Amino acid sequence: MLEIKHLNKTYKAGRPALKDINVSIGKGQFVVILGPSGAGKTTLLRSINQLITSDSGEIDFEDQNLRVLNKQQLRQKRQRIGMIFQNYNLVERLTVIENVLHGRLGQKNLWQGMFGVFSQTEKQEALRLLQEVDLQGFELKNCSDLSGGQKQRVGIARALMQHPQIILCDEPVASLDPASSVMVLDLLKKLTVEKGITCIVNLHQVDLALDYADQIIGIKAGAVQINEPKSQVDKAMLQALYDKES
Amino acid sequence: MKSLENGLNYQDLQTQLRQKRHKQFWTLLVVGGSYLALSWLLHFSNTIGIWAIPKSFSWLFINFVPHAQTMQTLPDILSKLLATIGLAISSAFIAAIFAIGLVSFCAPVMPHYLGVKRVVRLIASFLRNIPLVAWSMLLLFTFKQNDLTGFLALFLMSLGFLLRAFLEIMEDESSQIAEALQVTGAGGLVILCRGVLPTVMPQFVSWILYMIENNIRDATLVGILTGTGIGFVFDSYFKSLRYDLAGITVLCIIVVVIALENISAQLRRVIA
Repeated sequence: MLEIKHLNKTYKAGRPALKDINVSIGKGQFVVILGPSGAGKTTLLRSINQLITSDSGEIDFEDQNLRVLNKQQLRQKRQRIGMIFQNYNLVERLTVIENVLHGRLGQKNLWQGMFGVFSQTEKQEALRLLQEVDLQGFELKNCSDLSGGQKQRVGIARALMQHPQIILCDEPVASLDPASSVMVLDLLKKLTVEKGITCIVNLHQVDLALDYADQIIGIKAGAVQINEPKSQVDKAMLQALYDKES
Repeated sequence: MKSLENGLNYQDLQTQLRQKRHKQFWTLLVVGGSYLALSWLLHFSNTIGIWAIPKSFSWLFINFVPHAQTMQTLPDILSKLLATIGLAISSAFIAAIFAIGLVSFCAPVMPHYLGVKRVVRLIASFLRNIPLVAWSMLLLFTFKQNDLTGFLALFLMSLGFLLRAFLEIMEDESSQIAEALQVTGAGGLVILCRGVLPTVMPQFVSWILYMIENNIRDATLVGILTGTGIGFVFDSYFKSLRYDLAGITVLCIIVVVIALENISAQLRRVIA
């Protein structure tokens, strides 16, 4: 499904953010990326959908290297890769349903997109997705009136509206309380099991990673230190990942 | 200075506090000394200055208080005031439309982002750094005494001011939302219309309301300089020694400014 080969990225000369990353991720997998702050987790995640341009390597998704696509091709591929953010990144002044429908903007022509013209099928799908993320009754509320957990679920519904093959989640529960965190991760896990969507999630909480992940990728100083199914990851490996000395 | 982690002993603390007191003393001495030296140089007497304040106020109250006869001119004053309000509001609105248009090209999602932004910044700085009085005088020579001169002076000042404010807002607020819609595969214009503008618009509106308030105050000054609107009315009454009429003019301006400030405060609360 997603193959990352020899991926490198350097922000400042002599200080590589990603060093020869080689990772393979299967369909419907819940993959957690772990690692200390500044290890390169976000850089890796954002390199996948080209929000960050990497220096060399390959990111193969649906038999195409995302790194060499032109603007138009990249926009088409991005429609198949959803993303949710730590700070939700919703248009807070707009309603919940409008934000969910934004997931379809990539598939609209210029005028439909600019004026927010959506078909009946799309609107019905948005309503159904809101039921799926347990936000029925909130459709016409402004996003600014929602709690953090509710905003994140709107973000998930928006990503699902894209009909994605992969959802990239950049620390999706970092701003949430424990109960909301579990609710959001349960929802993401359900998507992998029921819809076969691959979720790649950056997390800081090792316990949550061990609860939800099918595969764990550990990154330290820009290099992959762990790349194993969860069952193969032991305490010593995780300790070494966060150990400042090693 | 020792860091707190290393601990600060009593002696060090005393030294630090003494140094701070010395700094305050010298600052006060320099500021106070400069004031006294400049007063002496300009032959300005503080005592005479202070005593002149109550005298000036009593002169104001005696001469500027309107009487029954003054009220007959009220309709004329109000019609000029209405024209001035119109001028202030229209100049702020038109400037806002131009500013939103120009700033939209600077949104991070738009192509040629950096080059356009530099040009827009340059326009904003150019317009803002020429004072309103200078714009009024420059335009007066070109367009002579008419409402268009006043409108253009207010428009150019408003445009410079709003451009600067909108650019800052756009920079602070738009990047996260632009990114969120970019990942759906949406293009620049779509992201601008569906994400960036709805996000920044309440703050834009707040600045436009402020600009309207400000323009009504400035329109009076511009009117004096360009011979238009309520400013011109005030100027002619004042110069012809009709202080009672000048007084009622000022009173009308104050009432309108306070009323508009209240209305815009209410509007800001609604859009917040």
